[in-house]
Amino acid sequence: MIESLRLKNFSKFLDLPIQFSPKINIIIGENGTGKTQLLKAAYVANTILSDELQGADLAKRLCRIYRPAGDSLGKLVRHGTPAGVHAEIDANFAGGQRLQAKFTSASKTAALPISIAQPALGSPLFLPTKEILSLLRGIKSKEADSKTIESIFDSTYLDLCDKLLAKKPIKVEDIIESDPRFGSVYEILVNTLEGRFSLTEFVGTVTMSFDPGQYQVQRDKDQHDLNTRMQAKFIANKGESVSANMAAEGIRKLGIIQLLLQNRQLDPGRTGTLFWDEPETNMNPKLMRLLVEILLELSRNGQQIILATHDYVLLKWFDLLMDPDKDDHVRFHSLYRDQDTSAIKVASTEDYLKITPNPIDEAFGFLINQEIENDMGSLGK
Amino acid sequence: MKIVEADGFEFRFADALDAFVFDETDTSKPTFHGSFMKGVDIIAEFEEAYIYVELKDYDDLSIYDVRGATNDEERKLRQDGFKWLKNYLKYKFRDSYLYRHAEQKVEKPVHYVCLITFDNALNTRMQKALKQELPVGKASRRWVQSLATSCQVVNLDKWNENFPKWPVTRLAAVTGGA
Repeated sequence: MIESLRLKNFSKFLDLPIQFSPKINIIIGENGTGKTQLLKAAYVANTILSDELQGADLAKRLCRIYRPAGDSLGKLVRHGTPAGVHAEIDANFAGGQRLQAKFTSASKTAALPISIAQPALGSPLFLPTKEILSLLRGIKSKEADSKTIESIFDSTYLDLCDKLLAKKPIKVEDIIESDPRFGSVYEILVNTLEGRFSLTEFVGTVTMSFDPGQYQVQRDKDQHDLNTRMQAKFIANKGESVSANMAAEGIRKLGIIQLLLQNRQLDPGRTGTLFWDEPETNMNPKLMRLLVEILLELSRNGQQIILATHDYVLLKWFDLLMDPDKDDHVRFHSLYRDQDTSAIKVASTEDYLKITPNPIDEAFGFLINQEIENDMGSLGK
Repeated sequence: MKIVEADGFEFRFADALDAFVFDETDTSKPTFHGSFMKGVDIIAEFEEAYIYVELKDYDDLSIYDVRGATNDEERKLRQDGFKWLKNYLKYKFRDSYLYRHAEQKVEKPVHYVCLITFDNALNTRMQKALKQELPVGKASRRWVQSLATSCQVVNLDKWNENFPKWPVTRLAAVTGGA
C-alpha cells in the first residue's frame, strides 16, 4: 500500500508531494496536468518492490512505461531542469518499504540501484484507458511482432495482458466457498454482467468467450438441513456462449475485473495497489454506479485503489455511495497548474464539495455561462 | 447603484434603475408586499429588462441529488426534495409575475435568476427542469408574450463571473434561510 509519493524534476513535475489514502484515491485535473504520469510513477514504484518483480531494472521499467524519446532515461527529467540536477522518485509504503531513485538528463539507460524491499509488496495492477480484452488476442498472437506490439502499447497494457493470462490456481467455485467475501463481490459482478467471461491460452492462441448466465442460490436435492449455508451456482443460459468481442465495450471493462478476481491476480488484502486510468472511457453512465459499488467493496476488503477520472458521474457516485460506517475513505486529489509558476501542484481533500480546482464541475459551469450569454446577452456585464 | 440585502447576501446593482426586496415583510416600507401571494426575494429593473432573483443557501445539497440515492426510499425522498424546490421556485416566479402584472410592471422581458448554492452540475439540472415548467418563452401558440424570457440557476461564483455589474457578497454572521 503506497502512503506517499514525491516526484521532483520528473516527467511534468517540478516538485509534487502527494499523500495517498490507504483506501480510495481519485485524481482529477485538466488534460496535461499529469494524471496518468502520476499513476504510472506510483505503479512502477510498487512494481519494482513487488514479490514478482523485486530487483528488476528500474530504468528499463521506467522507459517501457513512459517510452521517452530514444528510450533514454534522461529524457524523463523534467524539461528545463538544469544539467546535472537530479530527477527524483521517492515512494513510501505502509510497511516501511521505500523506493528512492535519482537520475540526471545525462543518464541514458544506465541501471539504477537495485531496490529490494522487506517484506516485498504485493504486485500492483494497472488498468489503462483503452479496453484490453478485445486486443489481447492480437497482442499475444504468435504471429505478432513483439517490437511492433511494444511500439504501439506501453507496458501498462502488456503487464495487464500477462496478469489476465496468469494461470488460475483453483476453480472459482472453490474460492467462493472458501472466501464468502470474494463470493459476494464476484457474484454481484457476474450477475450484473449477466454472464461471465472466460479466457484460455493454448499454444499461443488466446480464446475468450462470454457465457451468459447468472449465479442463483440452489438447494441440493439431498440437503435437508435448512440451516446449511446455501451456495450460489452459476447457471449458464443454454447454448448461448458468444465471443467476448460481441459484448459491449463497457461490459468488457468490468469483465477485466471479473477475470482478475477469478484468477486471483486481484486479491484484496494481498495484491498491491489497483490503478485505473479513466475507468469511465466507453462506459455507459448507467454502469458507473455498479463500477463504484464494486470498487468500494474491493476497498472494504483491503484493496487500495488509485484512479484518475474526468467524469462527473463517477466522482459523484463515490461521494454519494461511500459509507463512513463501513470505514470507507475517499481522498480526492486535484492536479492543477500554478498560475504564477505554471508548476503542477496538487490539492487533496476528503470533502467532495471542497475539491478546488474542480475542472469536472467547471465543465458544467461553462454550459451555464454559455446559456446566460445566449439568453441574457450583455445584461449585468 | 442600487444596494439590496436579502437572506444574508448583499447585491450591488451598478446599472439598475430600481432594485428592492420584493417579498418585503416590513409594513413601514413603500415596497411592502402585503399579499398572500408568494414573492421572489428581489426584483431589479434595468433599461431593457426586469430581473427576478430568488435565493437559496444550502449547507447540504445532497438531499436534492436524486442520482445519489442509495435505495428506493432515499431516492423518493430526494426526488421529493428536488421536486419541492423546483415547484417552490416555479410558483414563486408565477405569483410574482402575476403580482407585477397587477402593478402593470411586466412591459419588459423578465429574466429569472435563481442563486442556489449547489454545484454547477446540480444547478444545470435544476435549470433544465425549471425552464420547462415555468415555462420559458411562448409556451402556447395563443400567447403573444412570454412570462419568463429566460431562467438561470447559478451559484455565488457563477453569479459573480457572469454578472460583473451586479456583484453579490455573503454577509458575515448570517446563516441561510428561506
